[in-house]
Amino acid sequence: MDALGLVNAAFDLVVIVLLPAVALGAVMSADLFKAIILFITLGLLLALTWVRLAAPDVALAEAAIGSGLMGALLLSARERLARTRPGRDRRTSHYPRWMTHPPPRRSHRAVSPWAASGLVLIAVAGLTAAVVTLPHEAAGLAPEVARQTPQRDLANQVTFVLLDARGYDTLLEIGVLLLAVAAVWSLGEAPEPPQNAAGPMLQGFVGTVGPIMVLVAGYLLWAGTDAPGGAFQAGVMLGALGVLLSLAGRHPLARLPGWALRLAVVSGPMLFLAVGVTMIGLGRHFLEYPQAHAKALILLIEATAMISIGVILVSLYAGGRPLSDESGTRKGRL
Amino acid sequence: MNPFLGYALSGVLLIGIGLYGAIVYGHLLRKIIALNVMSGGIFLVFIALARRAPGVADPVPHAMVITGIVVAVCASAVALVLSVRVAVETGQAALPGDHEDRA
Repeated sequence: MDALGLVNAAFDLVVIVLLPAVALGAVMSADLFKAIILFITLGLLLALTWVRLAAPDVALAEAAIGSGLMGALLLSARERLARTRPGRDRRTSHYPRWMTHPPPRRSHRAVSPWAASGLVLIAVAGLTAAVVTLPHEAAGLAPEVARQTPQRDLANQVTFVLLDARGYDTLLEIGVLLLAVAAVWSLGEAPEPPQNAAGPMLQGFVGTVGPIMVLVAGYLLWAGTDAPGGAFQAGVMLGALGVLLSLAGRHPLARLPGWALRLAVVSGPMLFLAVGVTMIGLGRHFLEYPQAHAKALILLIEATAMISIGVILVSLYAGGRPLSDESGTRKGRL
Repeated sequence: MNPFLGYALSGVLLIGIGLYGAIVYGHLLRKIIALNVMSGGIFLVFIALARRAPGVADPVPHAMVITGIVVAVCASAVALVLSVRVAVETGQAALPGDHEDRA
C-alpha cells in the first residue's frame, strides 16, 4: 500500500469510528442543545463519508439538507418549544378537552432501557450478519445505467437516473415536498419573527454571500447534467439562502402575495407533470423524453423544480402558514 | 483497499443507536433526532453497498439516497411543527406515558 493509500485508510478508520460515537452523543446527550449540535456534526461527517464512498452528489445534498437545513429546523423548533407557555396557550385551544388533556398515566410504563437495548442488539446483529455475508464485489445496476446513459448530454449518471430513468420517483418526491408544505401550513400560522434586529455581522455576511449563493445554485443546476449537482442541490442552495435571509430579518417570502407564493410552490411539479402528460399525448411513455430534446427538457424541468424546492424549503423553515397570508381576512374572522 | 465494509458496519451501528433513542426517549425532539440518526445509518449502508461495484459506484442507490434525504427532511419538518403543536395543546413536548425528559 502506498503512502496515499495509507492516509486514506487511516482517514476511513477515523470517520468509521467517529460516526457511531457522534451519533451516540446526538441521541443521548443530557443537554438538548448539545444533542442538536452533535446531530449537525453527524451530518457533516456523513457528507465526508459520501465523498469517501464516491458519492459527491449525495454529499452535496447531505451537507446542505441533512446537516444544514435539518439543524436550522431543529434549533428553531427547540426555541419555539422553549417559548411555549402551556398555561396561557392551553386556554386558547379550541380542541375538546379529552384531546388536549391526555388521561393520567395508567399501567402502561415507558419501555425499559434494558428491553430496548435487547431489541436493538438483535436488530444490529441481524443487520451485521446480512451486511457481512453479502458478496464483497457486486456491480449492481451500474453497468445497466452506464449502457443506457446517453454519452454526451447527460454524463452525470445520478442526474440521469433521477430525472430520466426513474422520473416517477422524482416526481413523487416533489409531491412529498408539496404535501409537507400543505401539512405545515395547515398546522397553524408561522410564529411571529423575533423583533430584535440581526447584528451587522450577519447582515453584511448575507449581503456578501447571497449573490454568490444564487450563482452557485445556477451553476449546480447547469453543471448537474454532467457533473455533481442538479435541481435538488441547487434548490437547497436557494433554500439555504432563504433561511439565511430570514435569520437576518429580511424575510424573503413575506412580500410575496399569497397567490405568487403558491404558484412558486406548485410550478415545479406542475411543469414536470405537464411534460410527462404531453409525452403521452405524443405517443410516448409517461416521463419518457425524446433523445434529441432530453437535455433541454430536463434543464427546463430542473430549473422550475429548483425554484419550487427552494421556496418550499423556506416555507418549511418558517414553520407555518405565512403571516402575510391572512392579514386581510384575519379581522373578519375574529 | 475497499473500505465499504467498515462504513456499512458503521451504518448498522447508527441504525441501532437511532432505534434505541427513538424507543427510549420521550421528548419529541429527541425522538425526531433519533429517527434522523437512524435514517442516516440506512443511507450509509446503502451508499457503502453501492461502493462494491468495481470502477464507478452504482448510481441507482445514490439517486435513491438523495431522494431519501429530501423526504426525510420534509417528514422531520412536519414532525417538528407537529411537536410544537403538541406542546401548545398539552403543555408538554412528550407523548403521554413516556419518560419525563428534563432536558
